[in-house]
Amino acid sequence: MITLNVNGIQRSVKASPDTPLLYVLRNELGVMTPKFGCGMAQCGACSVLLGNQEIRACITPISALEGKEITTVEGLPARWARQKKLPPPTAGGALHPVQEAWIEEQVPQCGICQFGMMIKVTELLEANPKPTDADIKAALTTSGPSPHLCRCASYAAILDGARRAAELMRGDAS
Amino acid sequence: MSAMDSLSIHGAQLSRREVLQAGGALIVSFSLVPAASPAADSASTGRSSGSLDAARLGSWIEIRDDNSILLRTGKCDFGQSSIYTAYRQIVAEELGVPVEHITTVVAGDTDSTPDGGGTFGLLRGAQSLRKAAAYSREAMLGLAARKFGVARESLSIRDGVISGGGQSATFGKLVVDADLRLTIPVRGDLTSFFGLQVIGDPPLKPSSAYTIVGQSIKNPILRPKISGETVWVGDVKLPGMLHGRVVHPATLGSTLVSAGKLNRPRFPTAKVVVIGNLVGVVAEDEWEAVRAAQALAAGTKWSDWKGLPTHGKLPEHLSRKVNWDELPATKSPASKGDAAAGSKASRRHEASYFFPYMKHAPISPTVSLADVKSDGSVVLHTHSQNPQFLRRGIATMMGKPLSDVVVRTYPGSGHYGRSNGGNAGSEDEAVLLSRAVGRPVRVQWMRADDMQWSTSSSTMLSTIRIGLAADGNIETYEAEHRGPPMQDDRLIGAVLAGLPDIGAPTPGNGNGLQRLSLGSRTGGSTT
Ligand code: FES
Ligand code: FES
Repeated sequence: MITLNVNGIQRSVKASPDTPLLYVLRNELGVMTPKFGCGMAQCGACSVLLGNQEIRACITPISALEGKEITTVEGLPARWARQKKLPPPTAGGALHPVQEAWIEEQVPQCGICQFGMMIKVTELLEANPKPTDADIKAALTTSGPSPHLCRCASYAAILDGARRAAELMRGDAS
Repeated sequence: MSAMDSLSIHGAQLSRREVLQAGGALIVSFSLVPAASPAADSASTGRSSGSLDAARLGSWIEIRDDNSILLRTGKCDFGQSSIYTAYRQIVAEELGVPVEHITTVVAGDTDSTPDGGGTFGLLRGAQSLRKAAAYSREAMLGLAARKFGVARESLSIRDGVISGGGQSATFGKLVVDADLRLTIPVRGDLTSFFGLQVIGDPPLKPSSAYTIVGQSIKNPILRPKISGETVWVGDVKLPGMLHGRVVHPATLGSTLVSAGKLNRPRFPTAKVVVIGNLVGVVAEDEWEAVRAAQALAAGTKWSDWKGLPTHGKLPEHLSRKVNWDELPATKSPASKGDAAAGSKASRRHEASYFFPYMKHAPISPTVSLADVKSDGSVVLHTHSQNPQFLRRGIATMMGKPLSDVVVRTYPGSGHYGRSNGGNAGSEDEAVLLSRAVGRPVRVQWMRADDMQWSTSSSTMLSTIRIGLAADGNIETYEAEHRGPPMQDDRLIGAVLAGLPDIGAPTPGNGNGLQRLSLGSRTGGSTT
């Protein structure tokens, strides 16, 4: 049995060690925001944070993740609260600034790619609070195993969302 | 009010059923008007009416005594969220209520939404709800006139409050303690390609008086999506559900020679299902199903088939090899004038343009969950652009009455049209695998299934001819498009399994948007 640390909770999982994290999250642990898009690290729909680094859950076997800290979009509000020493988030309460920015800017079209987008932008903004547009574009295109794809082509809105998220995370006045 | 048995509202009927103990609502249901001209109607749907199952369907609009309003529509969301934004605005505008009063939109479930038809053409699709809203507004005015004892003409509506003769009441107040039914006339065939339409001529608000339509409103479904609360189609689970994968043929016309075998110790729960040329595998665990499908594919043999011209030869195939005289040309309704006049123009330009097959490739390949019960009835959980038409296709495939098939629609990946017939891939295969193993089966297409087998826009060879006058102005413009049907709505699993399907699109049967499409030559000119 492998123990995974998902969104701050230790979870023992029964799946065989070669099972990609994506299937374990979705089928065994009920963590549903990582989505299946390609299963080949080519789209970014399944992205999660491993520590503070974005990885593709569709190709990462759980055997590689024992004891490591995994964060999905479900865990972003609590991650932010911990980082800012805020009270734990409540259901229906404030989300992570990246999520709030995504709503403010009405970024998604269908939205199914956006979980991976928000994970990638969270990774970026935690490391680089004042990214240029070029930094944001590089994060979403050349920094990982593949660009993060949005077939609805919401790319311009994603850029707006990332800029707004950076402001919110820095605490800049709107 | 208690004297009211029935009130006629521009051809719709408002009736009170019984006094309720508490609560109350006005519910808009409908009666089917036989098509005045069957010929005209079957031209638009390809079929006659007759599949209406009104008892199982919900209403278009419900006005509740707390002033909240619920909409039901067979149209679905494909990412644009129009049914949650524009549709609410259109209905709020016609009713005369703030858009926030429309709190709930129920969409695309074939057992609880009224109209059917595909999710294409927002404005055309919204006209039925708009008329239903106009009938409802008139009904509310009729109720208020009786309650206030004043003439209907002396009343006005503002922000969900009806006033006149020194009195006023909210919509909620007018329906309190009453069970009101407004029966409106509709036409069409619920499970046809275009579904049902509301007919008649209730007075519509002039666009000059609009205060809601045209405003920018926030999309209410984004927060639940972004927070992770939304249940997407791929997230639906049922007790006892198995995970399925399908091994598709190597090429379009290949037939199965022999299906591969699975090594039991490596795949302890996997079960292979073969129906005609449909090869699938189900397993308790999704990763086991993925690996089993790979192993199965490696050992499965298909016949050779080379019936396609290949990409490089496609333009030549379209221009020279196809006998276009086999298909009658259709002329675009927008055509005017005489294109032949262009041949007399002082200068002419002519060029041909090739549009290859274009893959729609949703970011998430199609995924469906089917539950075929022991009596053969089906509940299909999917993300569909035309759930009622999909329901017809599934019933046809299964040889079952429509009443045995329910399609439920969930949010999913956008797929950018051309799945207008309601199927985008795995729906029917999930049904066939579930029937074969007697358990609910979720079929997730993999990336390769999507790239090979899902919706594409058809190839097209277009010849454009322009005639220029001496001064350089365009005198004639003629466009001729040649290509296969814009879409083919047959269920792939049904075709592979050799089961009944709705038929390949032809200009005669109305499948695949033939009448609107460029499945044959179109010509026209403007002068
Ligand atoms: S599903 Fe993992 S990158 Fe596409
Ligand atoms: S919003 Fe639909 S794929 Fe990105």
